[in-house]
This record gives sequence, C-alpha cells and structure tokens, in this order.
Amino acid sequence: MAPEANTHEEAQPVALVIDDSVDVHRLLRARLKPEGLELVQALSGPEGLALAASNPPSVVLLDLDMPEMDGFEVLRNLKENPATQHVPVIVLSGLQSPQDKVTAFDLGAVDYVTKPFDLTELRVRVRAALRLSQLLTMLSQRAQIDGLTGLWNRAHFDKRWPDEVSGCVRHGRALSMAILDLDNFKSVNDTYGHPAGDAVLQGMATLLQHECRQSDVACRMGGEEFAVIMPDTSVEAALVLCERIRAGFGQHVWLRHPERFVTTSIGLVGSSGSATLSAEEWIEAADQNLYRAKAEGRNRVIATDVTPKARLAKAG
Amino acid sequence: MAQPNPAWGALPPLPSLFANDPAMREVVEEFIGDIPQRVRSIRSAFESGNRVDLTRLAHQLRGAGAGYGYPALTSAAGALEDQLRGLSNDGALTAVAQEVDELIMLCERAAQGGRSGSN
Repeated sequence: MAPEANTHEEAQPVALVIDDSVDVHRLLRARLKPEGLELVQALSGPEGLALAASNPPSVVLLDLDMPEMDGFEVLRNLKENPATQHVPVIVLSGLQSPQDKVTAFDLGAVDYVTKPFDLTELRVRVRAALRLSQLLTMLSQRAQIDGLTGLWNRAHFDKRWPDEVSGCVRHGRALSMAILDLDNFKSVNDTYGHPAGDAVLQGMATLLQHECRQSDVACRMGGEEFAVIMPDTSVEAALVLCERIRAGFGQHVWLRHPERFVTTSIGLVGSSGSATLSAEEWIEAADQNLYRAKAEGRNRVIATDVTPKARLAKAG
Repeated sequence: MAQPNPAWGALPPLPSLFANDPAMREVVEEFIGDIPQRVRSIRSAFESGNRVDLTRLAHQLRGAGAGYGYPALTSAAGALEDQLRGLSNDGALTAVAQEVDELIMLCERAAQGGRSGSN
C-alpha cells in the first residue's frame, strides 16, 4: 500500500564476497561477524553474479584478480543488471596501480581497498558503504512519495505499473487497477479554501491506507486524482474494494465543512489473468471508465473485465 | 634449495599476532592446519617450474598472511611475487630459490607456533 518508513534499515544486511581466495572469506567471516552482517561467499565471478542477481545483497566485496572472469568484468555486469546496479561495490585488490583504481571507480565501485587490507579499516568502510546505500535508497524512495498525502506519487506509479502489467502477462496472474477522481473538488477549494481541500486529499489517502491491502499500491497521481494498483486481484474483488472506498469516502463528515460531502468517481479495469492489454492501453481503458462514471452522474464505479473472452462491462 | 631444511626445527615458532584474539582464534587455527598443504604446493610448483601456480600461491599468501597475524609472511610472499613478476618469460625459477626458501621457512615456523600452542 503506501510506502513504509525505514524498511531497508530493519533488515539484516547481507554482504556478498566475491574472491577466489579461501583466506579472504575466512578472514572476513571472523572480522565482519560483529557487524551483524550476513556473509555470502562466492569463489568466482560467475558464481558471484548468479548469487547477486537471484538475491541482491546490501553490499558486494569484490576481488579484481580472479581467473576465469576478472573483477572488472564482474563489476561491469553488476552495474548493467537493473537488479544489482544500485548495490554498492567495494573493491578489494592487490592491484595498486592508479589506473586500476580509476577503472574500478569509473565502472561504479564506491570504494577501493588494497590488499593486504587492515580488517578494522575494512569494517568501517563496509559500514560507511552500507550507510550511504541506505541513504540513497531512502532518498530515491522519498522522491517517489507524495509530500501532501504520504502516498506513492506519479513517478512511482509510472515505474511500477509496467512491471505489474508484464508480470500479469508473463505469469498469467490476476491484476486490477483503478483511477479515482474526486468529484467537484475545485468547488471545495474555492468555497472553503485550499487548507480544506488539502484535508480532503489527506482524508482520501487515509481511507486508501485503511482499505487497501499490504500488496496494493496506492498513489496520488496529481491534483485530485489517485490510482490503486491491485496485484493478484480479479476485477470482481477489486470492485468490492472500490465500492467500499467510494461509499466510505462519500459518507465522511469533514470537520471544516460538515455540511458538504465530497464524493469520488472511479474507473476500474481488471483481469483474472493473461491480459493482452499494454500498460498504456490499460490506463486508457481505466480513464475511459472514469469519464463514463463522471458522465453518468459521478459518485460511482465503472468497471471492465479485460480477461480474454470476458470483456464484460459492469456498472456499480 | 627449497627442500625441507632440518635447521628450521631449531628456529623459534612464529606466533600469530592474533593468537589471543577470541574472534580470530578459529580462523588462525584453520590457516595453520592448511600450512602443510600450502608448503607442498609451493614446493611442487617450484620444482616443476610452474611459474603461474607459484605466482598465484605467493599472491594468495601475500594477501592473507598479515590478515591472520603474520605480517612477515606477507612480506616474504610479496618479495617472491614481485621477483616472479619481474622475471623474463624464459627466466628460470632458480632465480627465486632464496625467496621460496624464506617463505617456506616462515610457513613452517608459523605451523610450529600453532602446534606448540605458543602465544
């Protein structure tokens, strides 16, 4: 649903060590244990890449001088893979030429420690890399949060939605998505002032946080428009949720204007599996349903089932 | 050269700087347990003229020695690795016999330090 604070910091950090030397693995195990790090070891570049891709670690400690695939190649691969490109990489190397260091940093390493390394120094460098990575994660998460409501913003929706649609297409999973637009919102702002309008937007956010499940993604798309992505949810189940949101919102009594109720119109599109719509077509279909809901008198949900062979329009 | 030297038995054991560090005791013991195999590998690479293997073994000890509390091993392995990398392509390994001897002697002393339980 809405973004949760500090989830990254709470998980136990995992350090993936890619080095062909058994000694390095042993020494790091002894020295990094007190840091509360879970160590995963890989004795070659390809093994390290496979482990990193299947379960991206919090930090990678990477040797450069390895047979088969050297550390530069491993680093290049890690930075090219979207699943691992943001994982900080500390290079551990016996190679000490300035050119090697420049190449490693150019390829995206965050630090370079020469062997034989001082393990106490390495420990604090790992700690610094983890801190930096946590701050970057937080920063990029913040950039996707709507400041007024605390919901995900449009940027997050744009990033997330195509992934959800391709997951639905690839794995034949159910998926639904609703676009909500508050009815006559401008007149609330004009009549009672912008603080009152802001309170209404925040009220919708609170309702969405309350009604949506953990797996749903509630976003404020801008102005008075919201969207909810509901993974693994058929249009029937999504319609129940949307109706609950519509009814709950319309009955809310606002402290600043108890005499004035505010309603919402909702366009919903869902599939029970293997939808053939693109992400853009799906949004367009939800938008059309929203326009219909407005045209038919507002304060209603218009839903379409786009499961192949279903495509039945339903009005709620 | 690079053969077992009976005189080494008379040299004092070489304890790890971390012999009294509880966090390190286990890994230092594992390292000491591996020393005989490492010495055999170094000797075998030297005697068969396998420069690639000898360089790799020296490189590994250079990186690891100080980490286990044996800075002298890092220095000796580093000297051997530098010599090997400086050799011309057709240079005979006999040119590094002294460095190999020195490294093996230190390995044996480190193993003695572990076996005697000396701190």
